[in-house]
Amino acid sequence: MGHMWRRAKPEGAVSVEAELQSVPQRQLDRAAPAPYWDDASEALRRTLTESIPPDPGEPFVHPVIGPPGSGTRHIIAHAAETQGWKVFDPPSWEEILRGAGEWLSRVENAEEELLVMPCLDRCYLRHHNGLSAIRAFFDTIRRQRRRCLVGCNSWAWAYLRTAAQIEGRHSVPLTLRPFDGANLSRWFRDLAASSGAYPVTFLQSDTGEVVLSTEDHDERGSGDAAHKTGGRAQAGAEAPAFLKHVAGRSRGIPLVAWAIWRNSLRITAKDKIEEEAVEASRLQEGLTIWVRPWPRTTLPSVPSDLGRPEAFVLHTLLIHNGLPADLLPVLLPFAPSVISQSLDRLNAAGLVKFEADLWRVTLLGYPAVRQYLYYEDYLVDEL
Amino acid sequence: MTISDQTSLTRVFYGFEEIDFVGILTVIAGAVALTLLVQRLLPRMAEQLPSRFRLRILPVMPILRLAIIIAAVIAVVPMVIRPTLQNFVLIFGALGVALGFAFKDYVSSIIAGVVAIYERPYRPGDWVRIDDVYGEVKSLGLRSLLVLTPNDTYVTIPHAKIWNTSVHNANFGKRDHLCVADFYLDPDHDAEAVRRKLTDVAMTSPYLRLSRRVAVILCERPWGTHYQVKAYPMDNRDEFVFISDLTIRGKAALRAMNVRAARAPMAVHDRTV
Repeated sequence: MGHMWRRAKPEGAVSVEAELQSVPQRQLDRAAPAPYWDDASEALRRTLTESIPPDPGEPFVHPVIGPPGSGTRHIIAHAAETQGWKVFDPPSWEEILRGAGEWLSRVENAEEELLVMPCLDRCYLRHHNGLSAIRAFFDTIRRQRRRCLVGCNSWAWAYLRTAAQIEGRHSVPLTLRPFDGANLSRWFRDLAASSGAYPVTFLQSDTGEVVLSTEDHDERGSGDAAHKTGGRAQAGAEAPAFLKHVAGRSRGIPLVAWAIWRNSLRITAKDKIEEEAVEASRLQEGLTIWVRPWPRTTLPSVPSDLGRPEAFVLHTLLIHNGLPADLLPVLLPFAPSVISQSLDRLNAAGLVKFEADLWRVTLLGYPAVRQYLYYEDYLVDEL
Repeated sequence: MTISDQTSLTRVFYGFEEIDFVGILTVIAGAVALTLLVQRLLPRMAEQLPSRFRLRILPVMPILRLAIIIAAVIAVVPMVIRPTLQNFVLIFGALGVALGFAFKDYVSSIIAGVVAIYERPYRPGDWVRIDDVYGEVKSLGLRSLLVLTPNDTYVTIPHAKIWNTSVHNANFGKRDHLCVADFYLDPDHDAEAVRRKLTDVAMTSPYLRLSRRVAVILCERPWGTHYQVKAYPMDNRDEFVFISDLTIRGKAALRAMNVRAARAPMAVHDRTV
């Protein structure tokens, strides 16, 4: 019944816009926490049970492909962990450039029937020595008649299909279905409810309309039951216009949509909670988070005067799903100083960031980067 | 001039006081302004827009310019000449004879330019070889085309060249431009391994257009083995950097395989002399 009731438009909703501020990290993590992959990995396990034949036979490699921000790597790793499948770490960069002999011997000596490689995109480099490891990996799997589940970034997959000649040596790839506005609505509400600290209501800052409310989630019931029954009941429900825009802009990629969602959240000064003690008092009254209207949502854009080095850096980062800075000069025909300058420029534009020892394209910048590379005729993914 | 001459002239032309000079000047100024606008705006627009649209926009430039000139002539002529069929035949016939004698080559180039717009042996953005000149067509004028060579030299070539010279066009209005990197190797090596390695060198070049096939061909020569890596860059303006990239990385890969470069053929000396 929750979706039949709407909050009255708060008076002065429009005037509140002027005093909106960014949400403190603690509250942001409560309102839009990092996703968990249990449901997705369970769905993947069920699909794999149906699609992978119990006995080894050609094709031996079963790929799961996902664009950056799809969480494919986490989902596969989580599914493997719960099922007790043997997961292989990718070879080091040095091993790849040497031909990855030691790494392949680890694969050859494994006794498990089903092998899992959650990040095939980490098993190659766009270098004349960097493709032999992945070809040898496919040859080994076939020679030993092993079943192998591989996860791969969609950009790397698009490149490897052409460059490493792996086309036709695998089953039809599985991929996560893109999220539409209704999927996002359910997902964001479940995420906000999963933190469980206090009720959260998301209101659009210019109209005061309710975008989401965790109270709707509570009324339908919580946990798995809500996800299963409520999800179906809500399937035909109209998603808020804002979330439809998010779904379109993010191409339905979950983590890209999640990043845009977090980026659009604001809070008034009086609702800002910095201290734990004050936060406890909030438990009863709940929290109102304001969502900036879509036309005022600001996302990183590609500078109009981007040069060839920057474009190469972006494309190389995407097809490798992130790279350390010292490898870029090995792969690209530019001096290290030119590449550093390009990274600084892209970083300032919010298109790349250095995280966990790797440079990556940011989730917020991904839609703009993909569009730019597509129009510049670079090889792009199909998802 | 006799009275009858004056009468026949006024039958063809308007009287001096009847001609709208302001209107004629306005049309000419408008045509010049529009032509300049097209010349400035379209190349700039082509550079600003994504690369995939560049070669669609540039060829429109000469067609627009020709359309502007024809429109201006159609607008101006009836302001000066009394618009009857007889008058037009008379004037254009006389003009044709006069220009045919006085500016034969110039008119030939202009007509060739019109034919070039129709037949399209070259378009702005194409890489062409005409006689000894090789480079990118930067613009098509009324009488000539402007080619920018790899040495950064602009060469003006009259359109009339198309009457009697072959035009070699490397990409023909498309972005595909086959580039060839040559390697000359000592014949004592594993040719299959080298061919695979050179294919990987091309497949891993960031300049490569991955949607087109890479081919590595080889043939034996008296002095060694000649390999040619044939591939397409993403942008045809990258021809030389692409070939350089293939050469640099190809040499590094071959050196790592201990494949030596071919020696220059030695002159054979007759020791009996």
